Amino acid sequence: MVQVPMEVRVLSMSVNPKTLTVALVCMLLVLSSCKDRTRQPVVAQPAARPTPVPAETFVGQPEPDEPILQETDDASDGALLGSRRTEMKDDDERNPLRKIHFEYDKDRITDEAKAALSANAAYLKQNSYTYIRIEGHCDERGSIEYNQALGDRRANAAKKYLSALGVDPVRVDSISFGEDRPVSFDQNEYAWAQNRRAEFRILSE
Amino acid sequence: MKKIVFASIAMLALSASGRAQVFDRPGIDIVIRGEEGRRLSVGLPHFYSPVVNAETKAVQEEIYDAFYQDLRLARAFKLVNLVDYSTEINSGYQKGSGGPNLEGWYLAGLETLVTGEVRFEGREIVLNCHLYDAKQKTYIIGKSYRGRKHAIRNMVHRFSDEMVFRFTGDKGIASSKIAFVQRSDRAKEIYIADYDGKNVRQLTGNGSLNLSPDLAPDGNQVAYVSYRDGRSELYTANIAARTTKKIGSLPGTNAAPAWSPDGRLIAFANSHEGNTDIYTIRPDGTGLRRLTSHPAIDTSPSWSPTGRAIAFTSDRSGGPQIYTMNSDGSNVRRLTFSGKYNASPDWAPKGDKIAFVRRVRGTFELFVVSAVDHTVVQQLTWNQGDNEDPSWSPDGQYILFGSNRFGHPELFIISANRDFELKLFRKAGNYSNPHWGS
Repeated sequence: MVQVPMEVRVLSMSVNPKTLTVALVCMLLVLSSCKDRTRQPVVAQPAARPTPVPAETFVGQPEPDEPILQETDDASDGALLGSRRTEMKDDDERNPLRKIHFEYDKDRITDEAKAALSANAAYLKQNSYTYIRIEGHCDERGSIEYNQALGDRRANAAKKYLSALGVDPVRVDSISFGEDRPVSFDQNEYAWAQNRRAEFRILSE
Repeated sequence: MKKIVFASIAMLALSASGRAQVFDRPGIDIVIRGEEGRRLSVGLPHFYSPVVNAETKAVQEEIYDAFYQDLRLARAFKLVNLVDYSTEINSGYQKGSGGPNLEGWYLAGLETLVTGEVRFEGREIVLNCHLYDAKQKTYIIGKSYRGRKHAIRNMVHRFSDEMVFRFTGDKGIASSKIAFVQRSDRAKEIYIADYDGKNVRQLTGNGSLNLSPDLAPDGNQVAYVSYRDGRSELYTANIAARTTKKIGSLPGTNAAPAWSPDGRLIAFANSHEGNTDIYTIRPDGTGLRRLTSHPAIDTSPSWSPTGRAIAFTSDRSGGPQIYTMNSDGSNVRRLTFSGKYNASPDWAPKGDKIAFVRRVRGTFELFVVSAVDHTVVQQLTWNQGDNEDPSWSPDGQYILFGSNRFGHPELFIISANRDFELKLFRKAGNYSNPHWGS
């Protein structure tokens, strides 16, 4: 803590209304006594204007209309998901693998999810060269960072269940999108229930 | 006669200013609740410009607006709008005879006065700022700044911080920066801005998901998470050099980076061992160290200001709760016991408090808990949408956070004592995940 200079303490004294009234009266008196059209200031001595210290220089910044980072789209090559160019369309109708849903803040595999996972496992056993990626998702409520971890756990719970049904985990990659890839942007129980899910994407067959 | 009128008006206004801010400019989204503490009055006219045209007028407005925002948020000051008296106050500059006549202003109840000169030199602007003591009729401090036109607000911020330091002994926040995420369509990009929401600049532009920005203590780097290469990985961006670098590249989900206060380490969450735990790594990608080893989720690390401890979110007790540990991973302690969902801790810069988010009857509210006594808990928001991702100002007076209280995600600033709230951006947008740097 720096010592507050003396004049600051003086300055921080409050102005009370009585002082103000006195000041008003004094000022009116002073002003009425200068009716001689000389337009003199109330007090002849203005405060000194010292020369400021040498200038601090502000360096230029990039023009504001472009992103600061020079990122090329090439950086996203090879990515199956997550980049604008290569992101898969939502191909629910053609995807032979069923998505599963979760309860709020849970990664428990529900009975309904078990049925879907059994069907998915059967498909993967028939198509033994199929590699998949499980995407874990959350609804928008709660911490983004916690939801990233929860999505991860949901994907892993699904992966573990498939593994227990005999699907080699080597064929199963997983990723979490947290709350950032919702199927519905609505804010109601139905939308949230739809968004709490794991999806199964075929990477290669 | 003119003088009498202006002095009387100023005086009436000043005598009323003990109760409320009477010089508010219209249209600023600020809500003042309750009594203000003692503030030093600062008169502010337009700065003097030897040339008068549309460009210089715009710069004069910008200078006024920047001072207005700075001095309001500095809390030590009460700004008095003297724009209408600018010619009068600055006549000394015009005549070359010196600074303003302070006597009338002192009699009108004013304690200090800021004015100065602004002029263009080629493509640059020179700004001379002067602070006067109206009572002692003395000059207190002066600074001269030179830079490009777009840096004018930063020059004012620098002088505002000088004033704060001069009068309170504390480092001001006017020159601090923020980082945040803006969503457009399916992409989320990282942006940086001045603390007052001005000078917004887009940092990433890869069209993917970019999350959890964290400004380094030196202010020149941002750690963040990006899915640009298909999965969630850690990056650091150097703002001045306009470069970005991938850090580490551990398999699994990488999330929630946080610079240590000395800038030597980045704490983050990673799931490559099967579930999410907290690690530290050096910014050059070496020295990976695991801090938590628990089958539950451990994420959202936030360093104590000394760097000796880390607060984090863990669901090891069933649902997410706030914990603290030493920065080597030892001495884990639970800090929140009420509520089934507590997350997003942010350790206050003075070390005494931790802000976090709690789910209360279906909505998310900001809370602050004492770092030393977990029974001392304060609620900051009530029933105004979901409030998320608190981040303290460097002086510990304010919290920046995201809220959907007006229907879509936006950023707000609230004072820790709840007497002040401000919506950061007027421009519509989908803003989230803010971080207030130093």
